[in-house]
Amino acid sequence: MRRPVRSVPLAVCVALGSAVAHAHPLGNFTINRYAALRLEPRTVTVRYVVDMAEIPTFQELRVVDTNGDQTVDEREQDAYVRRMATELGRNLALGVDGRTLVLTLGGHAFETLPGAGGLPTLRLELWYSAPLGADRGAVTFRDGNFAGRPGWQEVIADGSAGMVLSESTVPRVDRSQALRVYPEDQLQSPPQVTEARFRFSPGAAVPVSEPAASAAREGAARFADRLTELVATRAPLGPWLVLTSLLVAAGLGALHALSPGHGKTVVGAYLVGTRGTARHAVFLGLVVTATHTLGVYALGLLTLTASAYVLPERLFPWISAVSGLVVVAVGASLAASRLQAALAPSHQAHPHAHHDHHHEAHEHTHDHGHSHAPPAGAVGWRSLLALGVSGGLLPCPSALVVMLGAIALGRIAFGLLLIVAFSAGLAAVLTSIGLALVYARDLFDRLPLDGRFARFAPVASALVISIAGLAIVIEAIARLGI
Amino acid sequence: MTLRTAAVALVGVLAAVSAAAATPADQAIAAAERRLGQQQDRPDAYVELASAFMKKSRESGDPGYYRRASAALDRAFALDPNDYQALRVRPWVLLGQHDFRGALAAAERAREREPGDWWNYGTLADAEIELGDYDRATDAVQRMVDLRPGLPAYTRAAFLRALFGDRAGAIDILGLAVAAASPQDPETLAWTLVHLGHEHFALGDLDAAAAAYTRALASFPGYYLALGALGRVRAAEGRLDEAITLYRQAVERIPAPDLVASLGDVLAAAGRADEAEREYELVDYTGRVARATGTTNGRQLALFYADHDRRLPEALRLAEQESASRGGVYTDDALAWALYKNGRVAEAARAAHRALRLGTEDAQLECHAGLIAAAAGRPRQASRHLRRALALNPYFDRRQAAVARTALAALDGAARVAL
Repeated sequence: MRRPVRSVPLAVCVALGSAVAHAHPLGNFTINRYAALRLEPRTVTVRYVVDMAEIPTFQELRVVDTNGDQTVDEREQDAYVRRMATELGRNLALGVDGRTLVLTLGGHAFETLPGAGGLPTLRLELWYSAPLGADRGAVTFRDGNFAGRPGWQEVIADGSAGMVLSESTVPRVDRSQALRVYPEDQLQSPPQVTEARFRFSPGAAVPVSEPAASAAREGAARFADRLTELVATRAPLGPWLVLTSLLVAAGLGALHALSPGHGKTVVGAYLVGTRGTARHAVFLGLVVTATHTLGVYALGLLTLTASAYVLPERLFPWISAVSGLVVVAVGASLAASRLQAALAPSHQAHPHAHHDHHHEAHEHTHDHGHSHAPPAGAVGWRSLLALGVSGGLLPCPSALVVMLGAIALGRIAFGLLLIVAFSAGLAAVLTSIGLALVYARDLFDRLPLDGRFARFAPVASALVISIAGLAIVIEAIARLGI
Repeated sequence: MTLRTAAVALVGVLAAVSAAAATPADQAIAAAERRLGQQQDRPDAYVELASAFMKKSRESGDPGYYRRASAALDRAFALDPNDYQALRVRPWVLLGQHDFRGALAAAERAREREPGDWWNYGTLADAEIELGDYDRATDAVQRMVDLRPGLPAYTRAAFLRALFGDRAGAIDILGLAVAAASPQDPETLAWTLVHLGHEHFALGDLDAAAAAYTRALASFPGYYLALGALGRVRAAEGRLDEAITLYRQAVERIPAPDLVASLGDVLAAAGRADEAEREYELVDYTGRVARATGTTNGRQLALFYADHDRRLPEALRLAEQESASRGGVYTDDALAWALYKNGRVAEAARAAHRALRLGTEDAQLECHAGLIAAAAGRPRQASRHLRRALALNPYFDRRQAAVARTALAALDGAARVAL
């Protein structure tokens, strides 16, 4: 039995807190409700809070005061809380995979706080729990209490102790500190949420603390907003506006490329392993630009025509999985062919370091040896194409929003152009990383290295490509919830 | 569906991860907030949010949203003090906050900017009705009907017709308004139906009233105004238990003082005096909270106190306060009734006379006028008013109708003795 807050008699409470009025975000007849769901390895807990404004408090306190002596004693309070815990708990519908869970009361608190003009307001806190019965599943929750009554209605859900939530319809953190501090900002509308749906499974909790994570998310969202702002602007499109818009779009694409994912590892590993040149790196960039642009166009068109059947956010993991599979295939085929090349002792694979650097006359041979150390076919244009396609295949959601926004505003051509700029920015970063690695490798090559390492490095890099691809596939599958 | 609308819809879909079932007002708020997420320097985005808050306020019956609407408009004006969209919405918000003079000035300002915008005549008419300037209100509504015949113009035209003593005409126009209502906006349809029901009830047609309220509840389930109104019909029919259930359902949603008082009256009629007293205490407490928070439902509270002979000086204070900020026949009626209960009969008679100046067919106004006339020593006038009250709608108010019948019987007895 947990009882985190000891209840305090009504009179004491009102006297203590009369200095600070507890301000309700809405009218003085609101009943504000709050539910925080927490998934633990074997249990789910529900912290349920009801915060009543002045008028419903008056009604309730008359109910609490069963002997009608105008004060609420400990016994009356306890009886009331127990009755409410049963009544309110009955209307909290919690289910896992369609199975209804029975909530057990673990603790409770009853408090009165001074509100407008020192008049009391009532705060009831109830802690329920229920055994989960499974270590993964889909949860549904619905708060059916005080239906139709105005008020702040907030539901949040989070995992703890090695449980992770996914596909949640509600946030992990609240806005009202469990109905204790309502935001001052009048423009933030009170939440009207009474339901939650999410999946849970064992897993490492997100390491970042929630405020930091949400700050990062907000930052990213702000960037995306900048992009949508570009198409949404109502100003006439002068050449300067177009130019700056394109530059900003390209910059945003570049930033997007720097965010996690996007096969930077893949690109790097490939170029290093295949001894690609600057030309290959540029080609890769162009392929990424073209694929990403076309991908956004295609997905945009699809959402506009087939929106009734497919939701874009459902589609993303699938595209992601496909792109991952392409990467795995490229990596595997490279690994196979290179392993063959590495195992067959060939003159062509003759280690660079064995060249004699003291002979001026050998300068020529040196160059010669360099150029055909990897077989020309190894930097297969075809696999390079496949890799570029996989890198650009997954459209950036904000780019998609920009395009749909442009269509909505009737600026289709401008929107399409912005996507090209965005993709180009994205590709520029990937290409630069590729180029940097190409040159870095050249430096590397000048170091005397053990022959075996040099021989098997391309194989290792091909394996890295496959592993990276596999990671993309696994992540996509996890998001699909299969 | 054009490509453009599809795209607009889809941007919304992308932004909203969870699409929980929400009321039209909740959806409007969510849409406005999404837009604000991208356009924080656009006044019209804040105006959209203000309008959504206003809608939410009416839908939920929670006046707390007026403050939010007002804050959103302030932001719009901070960005552009001359933004027309903000100018035209401002009187609407001020009306909600019961600042009728401010609303009138704001509506006039918006009309000067855009004399061809039908909306401005609606806010103008609302403010003029509240201030009791019915001739100007009639002109404004006529202009509104000319510019844009539709539900907003019809409901106001019907209201004015009823005030001027033509309830049958009001019922006809409200029929047009119901027909013009959009199925996308069930709350507006329900609101219109509730007012149609009120017109039928005022003429004592309980069946037609109940039908309208039932339809309102079908359109917008759980609508507290319709629940309370249907409760009043059931009480008039003598189906007290049903009436109590309906009033309780309404009060569970919104404990508006007039609904709580009516619940008390039905409980009292059912012989449950203790329970009735509990409801009356709640109304009383509402008044305390209103004083503490500086909000006002003065007219409702004044009538409650006067009707139940509680806190009579407070009733008069509230009625006088209301008269200072608001005009109109119903404010005059509340003042007349509070003055009468405080023994100031001569002033009460003058106020009652003003309350009936439009020839409004309203049993409550007639009843109050009759009782005041009797106290002022004008028995013939008194019995005319009381007879008219009971002929118009014998069910208008269980308590007052009984008082009217007793008074009438006494007057008739006195008249016979005099003869």
